[in-house]
Amino acid sequence: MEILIGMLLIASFFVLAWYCIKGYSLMVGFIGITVIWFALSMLGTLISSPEFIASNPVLQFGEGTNVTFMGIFNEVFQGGPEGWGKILINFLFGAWFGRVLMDTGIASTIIRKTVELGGDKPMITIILLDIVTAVIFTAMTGAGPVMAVGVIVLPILMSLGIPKAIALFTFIASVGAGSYLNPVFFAQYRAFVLDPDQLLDFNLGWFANRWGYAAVIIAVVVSIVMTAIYLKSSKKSHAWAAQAAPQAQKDAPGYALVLPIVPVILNIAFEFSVIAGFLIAGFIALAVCGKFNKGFRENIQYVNKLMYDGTVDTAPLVGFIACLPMFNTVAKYASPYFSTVLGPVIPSSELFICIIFAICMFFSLFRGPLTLVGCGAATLGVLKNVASFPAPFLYCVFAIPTITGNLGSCITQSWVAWGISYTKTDSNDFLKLSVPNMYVIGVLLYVLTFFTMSGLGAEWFVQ
Amino acid sequence: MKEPKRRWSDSVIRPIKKTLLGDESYHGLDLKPEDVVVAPIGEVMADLCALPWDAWCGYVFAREPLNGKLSDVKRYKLMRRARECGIEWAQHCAERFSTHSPRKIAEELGAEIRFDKVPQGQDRVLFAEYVEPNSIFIYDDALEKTRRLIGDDAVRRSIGKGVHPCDVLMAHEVFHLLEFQNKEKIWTQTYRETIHVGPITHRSSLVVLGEIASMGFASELLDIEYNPYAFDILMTWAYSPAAGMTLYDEVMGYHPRFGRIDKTTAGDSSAEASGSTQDCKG
Repeated sequence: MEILIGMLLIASFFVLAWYCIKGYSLMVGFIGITVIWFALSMLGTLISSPEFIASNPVLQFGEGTNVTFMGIFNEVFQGGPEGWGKILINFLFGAWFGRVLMDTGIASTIIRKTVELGGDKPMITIILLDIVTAVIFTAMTGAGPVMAVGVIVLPILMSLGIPKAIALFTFIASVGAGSYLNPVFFAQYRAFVLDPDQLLDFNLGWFANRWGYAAVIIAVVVSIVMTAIYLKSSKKSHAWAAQAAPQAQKDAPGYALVLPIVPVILNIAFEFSVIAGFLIAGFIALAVCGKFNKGFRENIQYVNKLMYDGTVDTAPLVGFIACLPMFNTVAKYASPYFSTVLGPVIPSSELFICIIFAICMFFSLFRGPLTLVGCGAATLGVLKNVASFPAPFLYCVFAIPTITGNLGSCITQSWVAWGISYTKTDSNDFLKLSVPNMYVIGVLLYVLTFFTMSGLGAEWFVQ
Repeated sequence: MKEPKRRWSDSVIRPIKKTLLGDESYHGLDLKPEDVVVAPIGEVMADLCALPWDAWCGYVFAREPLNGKLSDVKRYKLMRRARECGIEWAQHCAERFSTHSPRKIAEELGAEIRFDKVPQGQDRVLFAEYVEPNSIFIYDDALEKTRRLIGDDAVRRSIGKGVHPCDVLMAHEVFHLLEFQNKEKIWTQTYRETIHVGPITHRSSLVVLGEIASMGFASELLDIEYNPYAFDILMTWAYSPAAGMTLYDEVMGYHPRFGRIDKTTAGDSSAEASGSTQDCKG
């Protein structure tokens, strides 16, 4: 009967994939799949063979054990989401810091200076803007900051005659590139693979040195090269469009322009707390950019407002992030059934995994089964429970489709959807540019993953 | 009437709470769409169409990527020169093709004209586009929405009786076509500004000059005295009065507002001069 339960679980996985691709609420989808997997896993303990139950301690509860049914139930529906509180808080402070960089004019000053350097030469401006955008988004998080930077960058690119689809593509791709080193995303995706308190050696500093820097460089360089190729065969355009000009802001002081990367540097170099890094850099930014000159009450109201705006920026993801851990937890109880059906089929070779994932990069689009912010969370749940892989390897295997595929290429991503509407780009035109770029980056990063993250040894394995 | 009696906590605890925790009703200084005071479009257009060209300088250059490298004096100088460039080319085209119709000139120049209905958001409203080498796209969605507004007498009086937004858009894009066909000769394409960024110096063209000259070209060809940038506000208003009003506020700056500028019906004379009742779609 365990095989039947396994088949039903796999069928429900495909239903979830279909549900995500249709664009329905991820939060509701993951609550639903959690309930289904919980029910099937618990039902399975009643009808599966005694040998199967005996060989899987995770499915043993009730008499003769110190685990109760209610304990498992509470672990899934209460303990899971509570455990993810840490990740959510990182998200909120990241969004606050993004708002600070926008409000102080630091982000816009960096962009303006970059554009002044590039002048009227589109390709030089693109190279500089892509690098700067990637660097900025190593620290900034959320749809709000992407849109706020986008309304500066996109009109500039389009005013240089760059077709709107290419302008949008190159901007979004560079946002994705920077996200590989973003401590908030790192913490979030790491928590899909491991509990935040497990394997503490797998931190941002270790990850950046071994894989992260190279990944950002590869992603930025490929995006620039692809943009150059696209530009070569495109026609220049001039649009008459009306939009509010970016609010006139005084240039931020030169020394404040390094602040966006301070939290990342502090975290990588000194394992400094991410939130403390955001707070220190954020308050310094507010102080040196003259935002604390209105009196005590107004100043704290202003800080509150930034937190309010930042929290709103993260709002669309909060429900999903809060419900996803239920699913991650229940996957532990479903994994023995998956192992029964898929264990003999799923490759345990890291090389095969890299090859299969590189070929299947397309499934990271439309919230498909490779993206962690879609039903890829279920794929990861299956993979980590039917075979043993090092945690950093699994992280990279799923970060590539999630970041390059979803955040940097997919039209279901909130800021891509906004960009398409803002620039009036046809979504097919955007995908024609983003998908080839996604594949080139994906293949190169899987090669990098195989050479740097495979064969790490049992001490790095997901427990 | 007696004011309600204040409790001691109102005067002691609330200020402390507000000071320490902030005001829960505080949502910052940003104006939200519902906070924007929307004036009647007739008055708004009366103001905008009465503004001298120089008054548009701040609005126009705010959209130039290298704006930060230009002085005010330089901006005014460039604005005037770019406008002159547009006017010269309009006169040249009118003489060469013996017509003031932007559509006919576009066809004479070999343009492929397409009318597309592109769905629009309110954050960036796309009116028309020129794609090299010879495609001109006019977006119907904006035109259709604007048609309702120009039915308003006050708006019609301001923009001129015979002036159609479609003609203005077409004329604007025709100038970009001319720029492409005359890269070596046209001032907006040959002018270079010296830009210093730290130790680096380079010479760069300014994209805004082509836009100003396009407006100069359209105004000369269609015989309108106001700056056709006024259509930015009119056509954005058609989507969202609040968004249009935000642009209006940006243009007006410290100028007196809401029909208080004594306009000497410049648009009326142009209307009669143009005399047409058909727009460029025919």
